[in-house]
Amino acid sequence: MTFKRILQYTLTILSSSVLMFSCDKINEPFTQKIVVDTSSIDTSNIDTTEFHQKRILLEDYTGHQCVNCPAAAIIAHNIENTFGDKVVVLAIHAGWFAKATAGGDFTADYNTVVGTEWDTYFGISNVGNPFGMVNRIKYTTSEHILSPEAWSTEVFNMLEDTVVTVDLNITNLYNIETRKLDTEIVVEYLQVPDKDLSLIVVLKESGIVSPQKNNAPSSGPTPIIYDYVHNNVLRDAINGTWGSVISGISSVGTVKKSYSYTLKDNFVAENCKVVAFIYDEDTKQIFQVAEKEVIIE
Amino acid sequence: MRRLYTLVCTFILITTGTLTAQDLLQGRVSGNFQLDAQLYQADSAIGAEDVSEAMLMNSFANINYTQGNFIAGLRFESYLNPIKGYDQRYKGTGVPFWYASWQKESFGITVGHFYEQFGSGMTLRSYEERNLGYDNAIKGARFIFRPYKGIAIKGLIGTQRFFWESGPGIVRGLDGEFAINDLLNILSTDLPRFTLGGSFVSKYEPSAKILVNSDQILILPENVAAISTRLNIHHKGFAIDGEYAHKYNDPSAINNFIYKEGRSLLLQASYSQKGFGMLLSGKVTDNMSFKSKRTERGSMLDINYLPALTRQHAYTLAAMYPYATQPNGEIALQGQVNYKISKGTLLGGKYGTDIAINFSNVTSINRDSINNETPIGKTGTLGYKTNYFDFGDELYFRDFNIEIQHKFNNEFKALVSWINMHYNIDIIEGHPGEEAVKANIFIADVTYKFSSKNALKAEVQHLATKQDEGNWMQAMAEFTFSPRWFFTLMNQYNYGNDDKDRRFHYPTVAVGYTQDSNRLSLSYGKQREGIICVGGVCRNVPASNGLSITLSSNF
Repeated sequence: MTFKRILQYTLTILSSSVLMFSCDKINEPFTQKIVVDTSSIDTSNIDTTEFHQKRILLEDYTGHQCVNCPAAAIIAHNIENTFGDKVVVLAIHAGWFAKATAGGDFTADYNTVVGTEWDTYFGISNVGNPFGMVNRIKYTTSEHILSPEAWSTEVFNMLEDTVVTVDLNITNLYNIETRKLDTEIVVEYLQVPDKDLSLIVVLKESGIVSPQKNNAPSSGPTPIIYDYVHNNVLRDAINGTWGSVISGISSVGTVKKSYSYTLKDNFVAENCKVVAFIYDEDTKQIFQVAEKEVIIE
Repeated sequence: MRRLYTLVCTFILITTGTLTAQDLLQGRVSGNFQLDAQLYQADSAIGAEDVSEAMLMNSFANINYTQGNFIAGLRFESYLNPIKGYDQRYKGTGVPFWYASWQKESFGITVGHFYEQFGSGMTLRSYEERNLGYDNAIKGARFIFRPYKGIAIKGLIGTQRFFWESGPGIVRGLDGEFAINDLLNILSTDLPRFTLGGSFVSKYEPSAKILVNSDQILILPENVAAISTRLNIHHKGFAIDGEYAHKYNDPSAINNFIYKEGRSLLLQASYSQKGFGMLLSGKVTDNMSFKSKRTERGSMLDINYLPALTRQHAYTLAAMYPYATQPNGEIALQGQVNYKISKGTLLGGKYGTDIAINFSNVTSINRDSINNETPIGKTGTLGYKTNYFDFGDELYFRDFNIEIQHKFNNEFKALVSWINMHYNIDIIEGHPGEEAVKANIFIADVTYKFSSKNALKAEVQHLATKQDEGNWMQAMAEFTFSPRWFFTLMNQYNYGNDDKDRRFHYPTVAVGYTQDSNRLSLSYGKQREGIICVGGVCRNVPASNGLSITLSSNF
């Protein structure tokens, strides 16, 4: 082989590389503005059968001893701000990093039976914290567990499909004296489902202050944020971990489901919301979610 | 065996569609199998929880068929359910790895799944580490072209394994290696041998809408490229290896979505002669995480590999605080000297004495803000500025260790080792605010042969530290009755834990039986819990207690 041949080979490789391995060079600015219509539509005076907004459930599996979780909570908060009523966030404290300690800074216990059972079933804290799910999509693959950075893309993608097949409307009645909550969920079928769907109703609370570990200065003091405000904390299931099956739906129309629940002493009713979502029991995919304050001002 | 053979033959027919039955009978089938099962018992003291399945199991079998220049195979895997410490996303049974490969003159082709490495792996390394549950096999096609003596060109395209699926990114790679002496027909061994190489790797991943704040999203590159060049010079006992890799803008979850370009430089020099060897190596890494999915935070879907320039310790307490490369930035230096004190001297004795001294030091890189208004590492910016070999103030890891081995006579040999370690638990394990672990570890290991077949090996290890869980000690005795049996007794004791209620013993008893290429081992005991943090995700590896069964076989 001559030098000429070697040179030919080398140049061929290099030129094919340049063609094959194009690289997208991004110049500043690296961000662009987006506008998402977050207008909250008052449905009290309109025929709700005509307007149906698709809403997405974002579950943030977290723990107060998880050092990377405050940054994830900021991502969830940004998504809430961006999409307004179109997204419902649930922060589920479960797994090793959510454990309460007997003494010290982390005695608060936000674990729940429902949260732990979901966490075990979906295998979230086994993979690590923080991770989450968006409408519990892709459970039948390994790809249902999403890192916080992947949440917003999934929300955007899911909201592109505006078709609502089933909608939910929550009405709450709360007795301050007895702390008893009566919640009524109107499930409105806009299409006849090809199988039975299930309804889960839970309670969440915001504005709970207690220490949180943190390793990102951009999220707050390190290593512990002592006055951390925990928002959207899953507090309890109102109708069980996997909810109630709604069977026998053969035509479009509404079904009403009523539940009663007595708030625990340490729950601040003013900061609590009822969250309801309807899903496919086989794929676990959520079709619609809704939330409503326990006490309407 | 016949059924297995039929299965493999059927597979080959399906994958090739060209072989006749006669051809198939001339081939050779080989493979291996391993099953790891664990029966769990709750132990509230150490935090070992009950497992509802009672028993968990991981197993795999590789089956390969070779005939001349053709080879095909598959790997069966089953996780029912994955044993504790493994990612639950492996749950299930299937054949996630299959391939067919053939060589035709100067071309070699592989289709299906394959592993590959370009140079030191800084731009591309696809591999599996079964004990860690790691596998980033590429599924696609690869060619290797050797047009002339001394020239090897590799090209590949594919997606990477993500548990039972493939990741969303497409990986393309091309690598060329030129053995200059072979090309120029220089056969003399008196002259240095030069090998030049270069790699180009690119990934494609569709854009995404990632929020920076409530009203802005990132503009993301869909194609990200990395290039590298390398040079090896070998001359008699000397060797110098160097590789430089550069990666273009690659905002990802690992680097907090900054647009700075990445780079890595690895230099190694070694010298060896009879009874003496030395190695010096240095590595600068800056923003070099390269994954085929930009939002992946865990250890999956790595395209490249950044080796840790630290000694990989084999003894349990020495390996309690292992260093993990920090892909976002580090400067690592390592030196090692191996020396054999000659036979017949006072210190060498009848058989000589081996001494190994190793030192490694890893620090942060110095980062400056890009301007007065932008915090270092801010999402959606260039991130930071840095210079080469600009050591940061933060010490990530330091390890100085000496190991001495001496054989006294045909029956008795001994090893002693001392390790002084500095382990930045905040950075490596993600424990902010915790003081770095400064540990001194002492190991003594003696083996006494009762006969040519029977031996007793005894180990004592001690780890002294005032940080983390305090002092540990471990004692182990292993009886080997070759070629069939071994028995092991071991206990780890965390006697120096500041919390007196957590001064636990972790005893283990094990027995193993080997027959030809089959091996069965059983162990009963406790394992401590731990926390692993990779890429901003922390995972608890729970404590466990119970019976472990390992069965392996080769054919």
